[in-house]
Amino acid sequence: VTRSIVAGCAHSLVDVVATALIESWVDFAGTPCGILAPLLDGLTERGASLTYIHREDIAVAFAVGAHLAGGHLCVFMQNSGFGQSVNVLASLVEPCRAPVPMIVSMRGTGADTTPENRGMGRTTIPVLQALGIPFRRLSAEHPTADITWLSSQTRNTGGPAAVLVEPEYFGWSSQREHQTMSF
Amino acid sequence: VNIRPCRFDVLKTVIRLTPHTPVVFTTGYTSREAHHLADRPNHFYMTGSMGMAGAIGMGIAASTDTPVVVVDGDGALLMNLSMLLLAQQYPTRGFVHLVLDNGTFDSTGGQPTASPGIDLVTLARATGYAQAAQLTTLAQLRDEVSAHLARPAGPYLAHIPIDPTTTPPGPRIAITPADNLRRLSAWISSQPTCRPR
Repeated sequence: VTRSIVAGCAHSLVDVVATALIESWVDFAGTPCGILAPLLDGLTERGASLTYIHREDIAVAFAVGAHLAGGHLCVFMQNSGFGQSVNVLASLVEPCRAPVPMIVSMRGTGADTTPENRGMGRTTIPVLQALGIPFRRLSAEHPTADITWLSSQTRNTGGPAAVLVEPEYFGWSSQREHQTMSF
Repeated sequence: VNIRPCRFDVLKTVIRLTPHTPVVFTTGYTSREAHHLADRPNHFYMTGSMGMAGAIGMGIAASTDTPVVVVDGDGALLMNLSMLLLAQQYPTRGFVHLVLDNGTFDSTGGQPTASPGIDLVTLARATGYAQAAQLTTLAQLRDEVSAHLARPAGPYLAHIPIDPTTTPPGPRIAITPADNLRRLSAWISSQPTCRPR
């Protein structure tokens, strides 16, 4: 019973968040993550234009180009890929004040105790702060407002911003990861 | 004797051919020399984020119907080869990727790159570019770029071996990155040929 309730909650959150994303952006690009997998499936099921790019920093630079040409693109990544993207954020996005919205899943925090992810789990928020990139965590209480914040934050300030997704948000757990081999 | 064209002449040729085309110039001396030659509102000088010129260019190309020219370097492209995969993920018609190959990291003191052992034309074809070629003269460069801008037919990569002799690149870029982004964004939106998809 507990499991189906959890699954039901996660399902409705996918519905709400995917809908809010599609209302804010036309295209999505980034690198997949097990935490975000239900959301990425939800976007695909709803017919969103979504492309998996093999390196997160390439997706970020691509988003700068899309913005230059009037596109509306949101980038998604795991925080390990945020680590990969630090230089492109520091040396391209921030100095250009390019409006790049990012959905970043937070491996190495909360329910995720895997040793290989702890470093980026500890590092992501301090690096966002050091780069001056505004961020907030995706809440279960008002997810639509969080996504709307990401959209208005990037468009109004003309700079990057991030919404952080905790491991449990869409029902991820390390046990489930063992069963499904999702990363 | 096959004398390689120098970077200055290649950039001059490219700039002459692209008054109506967004052009992204890679980090370092390439951006500085292009800016020194002619600073135009359709130019983007990527002063940081080495290796990302192609990704920015593809982002523009995928969002409009206009051709886009990227002026890359061997050191920068080899730093980020996975960028080549965008050609099959976004098979845009007008993506013209010019790779100037002097075999060195010129801007950091002329250290050698791995390019002499790498076949960039074959790599481009293998990763999804519709066409790829090596261009060894300025006349070839002029003819090929003109043809691909006039009749875009899918992502195109040209490998252009250039003279490795270091020449003064001109002063650092005067326009700030933020002003450069705003200026190109405004220029693209003002162009009837650059309408968003």
